[in-house]
Formats: sequence, C-alpha cells, structure tokens
Amino acid sequence: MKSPWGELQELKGASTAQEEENGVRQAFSNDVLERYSRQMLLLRFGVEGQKRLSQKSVLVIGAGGLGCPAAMYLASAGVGRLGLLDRGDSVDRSNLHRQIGHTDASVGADKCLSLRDSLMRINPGSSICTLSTGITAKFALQLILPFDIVLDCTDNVESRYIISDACAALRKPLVSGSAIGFEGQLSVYCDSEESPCYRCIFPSPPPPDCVGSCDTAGVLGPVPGVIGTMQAVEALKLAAEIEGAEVCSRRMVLYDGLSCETRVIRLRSRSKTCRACGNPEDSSQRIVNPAEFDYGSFTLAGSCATPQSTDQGRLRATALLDKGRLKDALCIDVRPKEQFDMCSIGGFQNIPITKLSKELITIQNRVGDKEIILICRRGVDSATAVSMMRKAGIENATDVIGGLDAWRQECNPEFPTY
Amino acid sequence: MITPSPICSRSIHIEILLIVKQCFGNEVGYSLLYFNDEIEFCVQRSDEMTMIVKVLFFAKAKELCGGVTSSSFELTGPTTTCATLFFPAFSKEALVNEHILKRFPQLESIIPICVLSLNLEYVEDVRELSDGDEIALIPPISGG
Repeated sequence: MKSPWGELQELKGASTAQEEENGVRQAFSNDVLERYSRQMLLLRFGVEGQKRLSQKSVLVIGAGGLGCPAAMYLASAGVGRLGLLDRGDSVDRSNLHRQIGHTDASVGADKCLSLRDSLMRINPGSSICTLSTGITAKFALQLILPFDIVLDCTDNVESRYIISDACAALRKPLVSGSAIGFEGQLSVYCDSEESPCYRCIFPSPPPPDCVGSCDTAGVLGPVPGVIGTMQAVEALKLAAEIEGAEVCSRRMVLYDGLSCETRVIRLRSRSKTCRACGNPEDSSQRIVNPAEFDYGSFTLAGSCATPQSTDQGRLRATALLDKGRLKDALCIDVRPKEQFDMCSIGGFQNIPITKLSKELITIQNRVGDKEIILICRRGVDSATAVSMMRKAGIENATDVIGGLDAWRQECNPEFPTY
Repeated sequence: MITPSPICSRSIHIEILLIVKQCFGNEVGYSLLYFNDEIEFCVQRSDEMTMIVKVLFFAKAKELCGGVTSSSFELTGPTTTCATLFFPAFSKEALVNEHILKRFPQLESIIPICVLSLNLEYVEDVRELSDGDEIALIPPISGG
C-alpha cells in the first residue's frame, strides 16, 4: 500500500568529514558545528552521537501540550527527519498557555503547520513532514513504519492503544507521555525484547467517565511541558544511542507538580499473554494489525450505559431570554466553582454537582412551588442533576439543553468561550 | 496443637515444632502448614500484630478521593517469619475490598484499571505486607 506520507525525503545524515583546501579538517560544516556544539561537547554524545541523530527519524503524534516542547527540542537537536501528526485541530487561544509551539498569530491555523513554522524558525535546516489526519487504526502501521522512534503526545485513550499496538507489531520504540491537572506520566515501551507495551501495563481501558481531558479538568501549562521535555530526552537518548544511557523502559515516571514529587515505578516485563505483544491463549485475540481491531468498542467497554435522556421537559437556551421566568425561578449553575467564577449568567447561583446531594434538603425547603432551572457547560451534568432532584422528590426542576454552549450560540454570542 | 499431615509423620512433626519453639520461645503460637510437598511454618504471636500500610492515590484516583494524596490503613493479622507464606487476609482483593473501598467507595470503578505498585515495584497481587509498606494506585493519564 502507498505510504500515507507520500514521498519522504531520504535521510541523508549530516555531511561527513571534509578536508578543506586550507588544510582544516572538520566533522561538519561550520553552521552545524556551531549549532550543535553544546551537545557534541558532551562526553557521551560527541560527533558520533550527532551523526547517529542526523540519521534517525522521529514521529511526534499530537502537536499539543506534550508534542510542542518535544518536537521543539528534537528539531533543535538536529534529528534527521521529524514527522508531525495531528488530527487536524486548529490552534485555539485556550491552547496557548501550554502549547508553546503555537503563537497568538496562529490562532485558527492548522496545528501541524503552525508547529512546523515554529520549528523551522528555530532550526531552518530541519527536515519536517506533517500530516493533519491524526493516527487512525486503519493506517497506523503505514504511518509509523517510516520512522525509527515514535512519541505518543496524544490526548485520548483510543489513540494511545492504536499507537502502542502498532509500535508493538513493528517493534518500534515508543516514548509515551501524558499529563493532566498537575500530574504527568512518562514511560518508554517496546524498545527491547523484554520491554512491555502500553497494553501490557494497562490491559483494560479506563471507563469513559474516569477519563478527564485538559479541556474539562484543566492543566497547569508547564506540567505537559515537563513531560514533553522528558519525552525529548528519552528520544534523544534512543536516537543518538548515547553510551551508558538508561532509557525509561520497564519504568514509569510519575510527576506531581503540586507536591513537587517524582516517583519512579519499576514496571513488569513484557506480558506473555498480551494481546498486542504476547501470545494470548486464544490466538484469535491477538492483535496483529490495528486496522483489524475495533478500538471504538474497546475503549467504550467499561462504560455503564447511561439511559439516553430525552429532551422532553427540558428548556431550550432561548427560554432563558424570558427575564420574568428567571426572576421567579431558583436558578442553579452546577459547574465546578472554578468555572462558575470565570463566567456565568446573572441571576444564577453556584451549587457544583459534586455538592448537590448535600444541598438537596435545603433546596427542597427553600424552593416551595418555584421552578428550578439548572444549567451547566454542555447540558450533561445539569441533566444528571435534574434526575438527582427527582429522586429526592423535587419535581419542578428542569435544565437547559446544550447548557452554556447553547446559550452562547443561540442567544448571546458575547458569552465567553473557555 | 498438632495437626496430622499427609506428608509428615507425627514424630517428625513434633520434632520440627520443638525446633521452632527453641528459636522463638514460649510467648508465641505456632502452626505448621503444608504446601504441596513442602513444609512451612508460621509463627503467630498470641497478640496479633498491627501494621500500618500507606496507600497512595494518583491522578483520577486522587481526584475521586477529593484530592487526598495518601491514606494510612491499619491492618491486623498474624505475623509471619516465613517469607513464602501466603496470607489470604492480605490478598489484593482483601486489601481493596475490606480496607480501601470501605473508606473510599468512590474508587470502585477505577481500581480494576489501576497499576498497583508495592514500594515502587509493579505487582499483580499483594501477597505479603509489612509495617510501613507503601502501595500506590496508578490509573493511566490520557491527557496531553
């Protein structure tokens, strides 16, 4: 099958030793020597390390909080070829506090192209190829095949399993990083015979309601910066084959920025029964090619099927335009306090959904026969809150379909996005 | 208390018990256990030992516990001087069900997918615990 990358530039490696006419013998051109001198000065790195680095290709999947710092360091260090893969997201202003490869001027631009521009500004000699398609199970093997080392800088469970399964099948070293809130994790998978894959360590995916994202749970900018930077360190150790370097394989680094504590857990070796890199008892369970595996159902496996709530009895956002109705009702915003403090609709008070069950009796006593109007960011938590109230015997509660997002779209475009 | 055994005659059994008694004195109780073809002995103090085990919570597990980073659990059980003995009271299931989930029931959905480590070492199960041991519950982080 044709490579999704099309024609990739051949890895040339840095120019070899040259004898100049004026009798100077030098390993690289003046520009290359000057640019990479500080790492070539390193005892274990040297000219040979730089040469090896220039002959390696590294694929960075995800051009976000992890991918930006990782790719910036790799391009700066002179990796032979860098591949950038992102699912075609455009740069959002809310990305900029952590995704340091993008700028305010590139808001709205394709993330891969925006990051590539930054990398070219740092090191104009870089060889960078980009694909704004994201990693898909169907093309995972072809996408990864042309590269020596893979960095998982993605932000979702499905991609993590696809990437790991493809790296396990191709035995490509995978430098995996992740971050959320104040915490991050780092590990290198599939880099040796004994080295486990992501699936050996996490054979079952987390239930969807246990997976937070930076968009909803928040993240301190430098935390993915720390982890993405550590991913670059691991990738450089692998690519330059630095003597005496111990790659973070069979180990997992747990970084907690809040307590400034780092723990390193010694991990298991490759699992004999792993579906991706072992031999499961039932051989039909073996994942040979991610293209043949249903990742959608797999990552949803742990979800407790929530009954599809009907929109019957719920309010359209436009109902909130009725000032009189709002005034007579008890209006509750069930988002976390941090979100409520950022922006809210006047007249709404904040009772976060996590505290709602404790407040139910107070609400019941206070509300009388008033209507209760609940709202949240997207209309999911508010629906849960309504059913909590119904269970507690509070009948006259309703909520807004689509939450504050719908309010912004349908009624008030001035309402802030976050 | 002497238990007859399929693989060990009564006289040998008594002999072993006497040796154990010489080593550990009178203030403790003993029992012999037989696993497959091997004899192992357990020395049990008359007063049961209490140990403190610290459980660390990471990422979503920490969030579900309301930001608590660690919690200490007091476990009571027989002590053992024989390293290969397995105490059901300290299995992973017992630790999780009888201790961790009793204090933090909200962790139920996430525990099955957590990596479990004992003193910074990945473990599939928890078979032996000693005073001061540190167990970590590590769910995967997906964000980036």
